Amino acid sequence: MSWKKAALLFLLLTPLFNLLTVLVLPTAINTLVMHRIADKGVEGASEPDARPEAQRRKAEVIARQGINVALPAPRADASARTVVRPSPDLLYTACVFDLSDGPLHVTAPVQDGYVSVSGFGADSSNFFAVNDRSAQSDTEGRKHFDLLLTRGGSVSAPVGARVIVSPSTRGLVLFRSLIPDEAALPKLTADYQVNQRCDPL
Amino acid sequence: MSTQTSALRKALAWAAVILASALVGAFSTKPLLRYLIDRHATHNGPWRTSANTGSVAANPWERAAVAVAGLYALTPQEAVYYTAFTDSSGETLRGECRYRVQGAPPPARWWSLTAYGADHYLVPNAAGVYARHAGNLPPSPDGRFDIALAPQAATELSLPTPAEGPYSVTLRVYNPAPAVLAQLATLPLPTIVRESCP
Repeated sequence: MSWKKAALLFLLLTPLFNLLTVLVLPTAINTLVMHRIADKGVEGASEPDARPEAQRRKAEVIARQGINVALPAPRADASARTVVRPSPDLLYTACVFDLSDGPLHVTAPVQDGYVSVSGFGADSSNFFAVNDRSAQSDTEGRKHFDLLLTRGGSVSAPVGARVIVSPSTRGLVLFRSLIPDEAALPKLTADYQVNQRCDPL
Repeated sequence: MSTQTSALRKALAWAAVILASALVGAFSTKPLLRYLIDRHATHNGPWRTSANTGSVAANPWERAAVAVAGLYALTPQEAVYYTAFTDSSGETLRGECRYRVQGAPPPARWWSLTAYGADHYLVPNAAGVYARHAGNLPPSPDGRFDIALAPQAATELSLPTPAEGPYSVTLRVYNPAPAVLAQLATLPLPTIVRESCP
């Protein structure tokens, strides 16, 4: 191959490889991070918990290997290394989902203050977000989250659940609960985070 | 024998060129993204944001940039993220320097100011303070704030930064008022003024 030909090939291929990297990057990073979140969730669930409800949830995390189950994260600090640019004023709960075997039921009570549940597809884009203001009310007028994440088609959704079609089979659901001040954290963890759930239907 | 050798040499040359372009192509992604994002971002003083963050309508470069430096970001309707890598005069924010972030809360349900190291993670500090917001700032009579950015800062009006090297700050604007979305580039935002630098 002559130098001229080699240079031409290089100039042609480099932008192509660059574009390929750009196109693959979001899905690649998201897949890697979702694996890390699931693994870290299982790791965290291996530690015993004195609270019976929390211990029951930890058993579920281990049984489902961190997939299609709510993974409550501790409040972010400098040791948090799973997701970039975490917000220290939000309490996160993640659910790595895989809808291959059916829909995912996402439920949670709504705290007094900002809380949202959002979904991210395999390519990392945010395909839905519902917050405490746009959440449904139950028969007694209390706000709560009750969503059914599906891949489309006909599903028999639980009564009252809002059906959301996911653009991909795999992805992530993320709860964000505002920690307005330090004093609010214990109640937020014990009364709300523990009741944020993701379960296969 | 000689035809075999020349065929092998030819194959090796092709492989070398393809490998070189793959490496350069892949590793130029980061600087290219940085350039494209800065060029296509909405600028507001030292702050950068994008109306397409998190959106399914984002172009491949925007989506890649968010995946690298803001994975699981919400769309602007839910939250607007303003990030500054420089002070108001355009100089890179550095841990060796001290700054003041001065302004008024943006029209929204909640706002917070957080510092991140060059690795996009929170900055270790003795005080365990990672963000300043309405819930941990002392009330001020006119509603405005004046937050000092400095390493190991520990007053109730300061936000700890890395001891050295470049870093960034993000102003989160949760449930922004319609006015924010309508004027991402012109909304009055805090200034970042350099106070001292060794």
